[in-house]
Amino acid sequence: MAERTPSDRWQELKELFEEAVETPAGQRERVLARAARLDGSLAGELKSLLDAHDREGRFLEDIVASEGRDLVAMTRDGAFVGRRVGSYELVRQIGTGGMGTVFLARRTDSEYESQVAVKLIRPGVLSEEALRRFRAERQALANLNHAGIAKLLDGGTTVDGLPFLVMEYVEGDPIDAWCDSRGLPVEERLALFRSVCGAVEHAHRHMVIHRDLKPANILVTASGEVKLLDFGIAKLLPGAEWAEPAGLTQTAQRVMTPDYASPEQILGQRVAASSDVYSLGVLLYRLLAGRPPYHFGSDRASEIERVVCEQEPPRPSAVADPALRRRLRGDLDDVVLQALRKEPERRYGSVEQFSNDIRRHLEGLPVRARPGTLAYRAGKFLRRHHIGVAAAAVVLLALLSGLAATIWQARIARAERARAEERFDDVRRLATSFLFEFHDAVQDLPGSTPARKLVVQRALQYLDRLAKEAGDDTSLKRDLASAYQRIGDVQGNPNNANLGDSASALKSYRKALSIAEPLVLDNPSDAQARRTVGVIYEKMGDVLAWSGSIGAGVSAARRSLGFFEALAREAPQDVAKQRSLAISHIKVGDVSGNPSFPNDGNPSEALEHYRVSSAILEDLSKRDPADPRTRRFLGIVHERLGTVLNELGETSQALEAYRRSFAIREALVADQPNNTDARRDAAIASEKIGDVLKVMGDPKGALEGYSKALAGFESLAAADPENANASRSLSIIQMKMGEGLAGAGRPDEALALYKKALAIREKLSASDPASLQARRDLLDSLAGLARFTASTHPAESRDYEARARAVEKSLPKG
Amino acid sequence: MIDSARGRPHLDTLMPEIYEELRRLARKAMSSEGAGSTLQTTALVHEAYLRLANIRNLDVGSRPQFFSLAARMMRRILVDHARARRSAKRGGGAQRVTLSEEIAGQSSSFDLVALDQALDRLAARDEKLVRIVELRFIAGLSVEETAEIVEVSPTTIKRESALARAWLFRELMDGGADAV
Repeated sequence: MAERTPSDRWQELKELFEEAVETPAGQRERVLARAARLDGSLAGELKSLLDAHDREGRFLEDIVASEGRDLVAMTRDGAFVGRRVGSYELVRQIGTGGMGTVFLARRTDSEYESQVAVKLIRPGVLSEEALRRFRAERQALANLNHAGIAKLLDGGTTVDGLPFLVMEYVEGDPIDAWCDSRGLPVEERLALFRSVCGAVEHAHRHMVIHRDLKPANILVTASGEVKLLDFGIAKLLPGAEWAEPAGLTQTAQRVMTPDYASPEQILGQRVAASSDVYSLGVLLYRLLAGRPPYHFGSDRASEIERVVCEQEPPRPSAVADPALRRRLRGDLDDVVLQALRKEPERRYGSVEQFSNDIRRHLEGLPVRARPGTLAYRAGKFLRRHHIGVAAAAVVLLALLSGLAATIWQARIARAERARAEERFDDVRRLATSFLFEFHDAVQDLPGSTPARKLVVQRALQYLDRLAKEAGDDTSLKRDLASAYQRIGDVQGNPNNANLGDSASALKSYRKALSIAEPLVLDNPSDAQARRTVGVIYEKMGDVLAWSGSIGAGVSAARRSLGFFEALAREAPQDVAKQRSLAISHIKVGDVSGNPSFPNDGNPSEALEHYRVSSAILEDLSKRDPADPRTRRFLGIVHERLGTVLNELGETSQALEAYRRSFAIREALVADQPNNTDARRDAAIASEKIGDVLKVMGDPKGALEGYSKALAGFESLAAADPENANASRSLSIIQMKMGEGLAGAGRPDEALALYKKALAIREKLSASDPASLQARRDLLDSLAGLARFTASTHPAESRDYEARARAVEKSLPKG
Repeated sequence: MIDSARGRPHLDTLMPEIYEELRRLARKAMSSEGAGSTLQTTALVHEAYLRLANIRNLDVGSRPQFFSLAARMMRRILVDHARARRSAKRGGGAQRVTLSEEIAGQSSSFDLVALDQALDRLAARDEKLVRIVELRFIAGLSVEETAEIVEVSPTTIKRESALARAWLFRELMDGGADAV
C-alpha cells in the first residue's frame, strides 16, 4: 500500500466521521473497527472526535455570543464617562465587577469637591436578576453603618433606566498587596485581619452576607483603615423581613472568585454566614502563607469544583516563607484550617468565634481550633500531667460530662441558641469521633482496658442522648448509626481490638440498624445510609458467627452483600463501590465455608463467592493495575481460594491459588518495600505454598516455600522486635522449617531452628505470663525438642522433658 | 494569515475598510442596544455589505468573497476585543480569572482567543472548515447562505460543520490553547 500523506489521512478521517455520525449510536463500533483496521491511531482520533461531537452542546455559539455581549457592554460603559448620573458626573472607570462597572464620580450640585464611586449595573447577561439583586443590595447596604464598610450614599436609576449605586469612594490597596508591600509582621497582619472580621460581623448582625470576600473587595487606606467594598452579591439572611428574591441563590454562586469561594458556593448550594467564614479563612491563609490555599490546574468548572470541594489544603506553615514556618505551625495552622473546613458546620460557628480565636492566640491562650477540639485540650492536659492513662480518661470524662450537662440546658435558651448549637456539635463530635480516637490511642497500652470500658460506656450515654435529640436531622442520624456501629466494634468485634463483649456489641449494632434502616426506607436513594446499613450487617455477621450463631451470621453477611450489590450495580464505574462488593463477597465466603473462620460448613459456596470476588477485583485491576488496595484484596482472595480449594481436596488448584496470591503480594512488596502488611502477607502465602506441597508429597518444594516464608518473617520480627505476633509467626515457621530440614536429612540445621523457636517462645511467655497460648506454644517447642534430641543427646532431651512437664502442669486441664 | 482572495484581488484591498465599517456599525448598534443584548453579527455583516457594495460599486459576483472576508473580520474584531480584555486583566497584577467570566459561558481556555488559535490550527488541515465556521457561527449566516458562499450543498455544510465543531471542541477541551 502506498504511503498515505497527512491530507489523505485527514480525508479518511473526515469520511469515517461523517459516516459514523450518521450511523445509529449503537452501531458506531463497526465504523470504529474499520478505522482500526486502516490505522490504529486513526481509530483513536475518530473516537475522540465522536466523543467531542456528542458532548459539544452549544459551545461555539456560547463563546461567540458571550464575547459579543461583553463587547456591547464595554462599549456602552466606556460611553458613560463624562455623562451625568443623578447629580454625579462620571469621571473615569475604576473597575468592573460581576454585575457592573464602577466609576469615579464627583458631585455636580455641591460647592465642595466630593468624590464618590458610582456603580452602574451592567446591561449584562443577567439583567433581570441583577436588577433584583440590586434592589436587595440597596436595602441591605443602607442598613449597614460601620467604619470598615464603604458607605452607601445614594441610589437611583439613570435617565435611560440603568440602576446605579453611589458609594463612598475609597482610595486604598487590596489588603494582600498592602500587607506585602509593607512587609507586615504576622502580628500586625492578624490585627488587620481581625478588623476585617469586625466589619463582616457587623454585616452579619444585620443579616447581610458578603458572599464575595476577597482582597479586591477589602481595601486598606494609606492610614491603615480597612474598608470593605461591594456587597455586590449580598444576600439577606433568612429571617430578615424582606424575602430573598427567588432565583438568587442558584446563580449567585457563579459570580465568585474561585480562590475565595466556599465549597457550598461552588456547588450552588445554600449559602450562609459560614460561607463568609470560609472566605475569610482563605484570606487569612493568603495573608499568612503568602499564597492562596489551592492551585487550580485549569479554570474549568469541574477542576475548580474538584479542588475546592475535595482537596485538603496544605497547612499554611508548610507553604509559607521558611522564616515564618515555625511561627505559623500549630495554633495558626489550626485556626486557618478550621475556617477552611469543607463542611460549613465544622468551621467556626461565626466570624466572631474565628476572630476571638485569633485574639486568644495573640494573647497566648490556647485556641479552640484543633482537629477535634477536645482531643487537643486533653492532649495538652496529658502532656502537662504525666498521669496514668486510665486516670487521665477518668479526669477527662469528668470534664466532658460537666460540659455535656450545660449543653442540654443551654439548648433550651433561645438567646443562647448559637452557642448551644456549637456545644451540641462538640458533643456530637465527642460521641461520634473523639471518644473513638481516644479509645484507639490507648488500646495498645497495657492496662488500658478499664479506661476503654469507661470510654465506651460514656460514649453510649452521649449517643443515647443525641439519638433522642436527633429529630429529623438526617446527617446526624447517619453519624449516630455509624457511631453505634463503631461502639459495637469496640465492644466485641473479633476483627479489631475489642472488649470481648459480643452481647453488648450486638445490642449496639441493633441500635445502629434501628436508626439507619428508617433512613433508607424514607429515602431509598440515600446511598450513604444504604452503605451504613450494609456495613452494620457485615459487622453483625462477624460477631454472630464468632459467638456461635453461624446461621444468623451467614444471613447477616448475605443481607450486607445485598446492599453492596445494589450500590455497586448503580455505579459500575465507582471503584470504591466495586471493591466494597468484592470484599462483601469475601465476607460471605468466609462464614459460608472457610475453615479458618467459624463457618457454615459449605466450602463450595465459599468458593463461589471467592470466585465472584476475584473476578470483580481482576476487573478493577485491569482498570488500574497499580492500585495497591485492589492488589491487596486480590492477594487476600486468592489466599482464601487456596484455603477452600485445599479443604475441597483440590490441592493442585489450591497450590495455584496460593502461588497467585504470593506473586501479587511479592510484586506489592517490590513496589512498597516499607509496607509491612504486604510483607507479612507474602510470607504467609509462601508458608501456605509450603504446607500444600508438603501434603502433595513434595518435601523439597515445601522446604523452598518455608524458607521464603522464614526469610520474610525473620525480617518482620527484626524490624519490630516488640511485636509479639511477628515473633510468634517467626517461631511457627521455624518449627515447620525445622521439621522439613529434619525430614531432608539435615538434623543439625533442624536442631538449630528448633532452638531458635524455643528461645522466642520462652521470651514471649515470660513477657506475658497470663497468656495461655504463649505457654502452649512453649510446651509444644519443649516437647518437640525432647523428642528430637532423644536419640542423639539423651541428657539434653531429659532436661527438655522436665521443663515441658513443668509448663504442662501450669496449664488448665484439657 | 488571511486567505488569498484568488481571482478577485481587488477585494483584498477592501479588508481594512470592511474591518472599520463593521466596527463602526457595531459601535452604532451597541449604543442603542438595550440591557443584556448581544452583538448581532449577522445584521452587521449584511449591513456592511450593503453599504460597501453601494459605495465601492461591487458587482454581484463578489458577494460570496465579501461575506467570507467580512466573517473573518468579524472574527478579528471579537478576538481583538478578547485580547484587549485579557491584557487589561494581566495588567492588574497577577489577578486570577474568576467564575464571573464563566457566567458568560466561558472560562479562559474556552474563550475567543483560544478558539481563534484552534481555528488557526484547523486551517492548517482544512481551510474550508474554518471558512464554514466563520460564516456559520461567527458571522451567523444560515446554512443556505453559507452553502451558497462556499459553493457546496447545504448537506455538506451541515456535515462539515459537525466535524469542525467536534474538532474544535476537542482542541479546547484538551487545553491546546495557552491557558491563563
